[in-house]
Amino acid sequence: MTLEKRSVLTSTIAAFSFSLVAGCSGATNPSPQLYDAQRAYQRAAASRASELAPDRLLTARETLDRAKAAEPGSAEEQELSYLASRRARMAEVYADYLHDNQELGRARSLQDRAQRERRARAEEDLDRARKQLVKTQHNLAASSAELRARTTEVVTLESQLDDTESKRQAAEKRADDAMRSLQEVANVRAEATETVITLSGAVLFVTGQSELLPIAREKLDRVAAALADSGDDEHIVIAGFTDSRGSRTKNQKLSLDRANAVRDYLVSHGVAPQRVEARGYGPDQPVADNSTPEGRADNRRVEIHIQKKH
Amino acid sequence: MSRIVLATTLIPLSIAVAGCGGAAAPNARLADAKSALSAAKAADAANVPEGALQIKLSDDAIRTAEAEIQSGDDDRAAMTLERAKADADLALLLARENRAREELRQFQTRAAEDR
Repeated sequence: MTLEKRSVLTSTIAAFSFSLVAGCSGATNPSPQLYDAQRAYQRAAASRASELAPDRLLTARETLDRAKAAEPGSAEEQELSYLASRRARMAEVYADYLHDNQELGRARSLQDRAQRERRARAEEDLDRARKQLVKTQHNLAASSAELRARTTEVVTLESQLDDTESKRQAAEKRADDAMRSLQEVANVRAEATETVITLSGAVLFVTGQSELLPIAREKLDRVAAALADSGDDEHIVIAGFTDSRGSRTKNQKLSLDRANAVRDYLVSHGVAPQRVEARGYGPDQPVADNSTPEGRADNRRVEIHIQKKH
Repeated sequence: MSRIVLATTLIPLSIAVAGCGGAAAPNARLADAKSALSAAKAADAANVPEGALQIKLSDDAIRTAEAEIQSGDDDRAAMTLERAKADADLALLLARENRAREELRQFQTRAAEDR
């Protein structure tokens, strides 16, 4: 290697010059600076310098070799040793400098990568949040539409309810009016299980007949009106009664015929036939004394029983 | 590099045979050494302990070399100046390394804070 040749050349020349001028320099012991230089070089060689600053380390090495080749104790040896020390130290320091820069570079690129990742994640989060927002807005719109539909429904139902209530009140009023009107022409008695309308036989029928008098119609119209507006679940019994004079059989038949006449009239004026039943009681169940004309008149009657079925 | 090797082989020869004289232009070397020292000072080498020492050594060596040139001892001056330049160069490297280390330290501190 060229290096070896140069060292050999230097050593040879130095040895030659030494032999020529043996008298010029007196000392033969190596100077302490050479020892220091050796140590400095060894330290540098063991440090990062061998990996990161091999050129500078080599320069130091060469200088050290020249120092070793110089005449021991000479000024030249001292100078070269001094230079070798400095150059060994420079190799170390330069290697540290390179190392620091490398570390900084690494740290920076790690940081950049971390930043890029953070930004990418933030963008993903933002994107996800945006999508979520859109979904929420759709849901909100759907809910609003639902709410509007429900509200409309409620309004409709409320108005239907008002309607039904009005109708009910109207029907109630009609029933009350009908009853009041009826009470003008008949005796109306309300009992626990039934309402009883009593009509005098004299105002309904010709004596001894079961044909209805014309004026009876007006009264029976009011009865029909009152019955039409009462509940469908009520059962109506039309009961005919006579006084006790005359044959029982005849009275029985008369009372039944009269009850049927009233029934037929009422059915033909709107009362449901299945609700109405006609019965003849003849002289039974008198309400007054049959021995007086007034009493007998009272007993000759038709009773309409409106029986509540609950 | 070969120049240095050659010079260092010639110097002992010249000392041995002729005693004195015959070295490369001392003033050029002086200018080199002085500019190396300026560079080291400009890089704030004095703020690094070892750097401050190197600056002082370089400074002293330059003054010694100037005296040697004055008294005509060019050979001697050449060696002194080589030393002065090496001291200044080392001072400069120390300053640079110190700054790089400081930069790295600050970066790492800031990075730790940001976490």
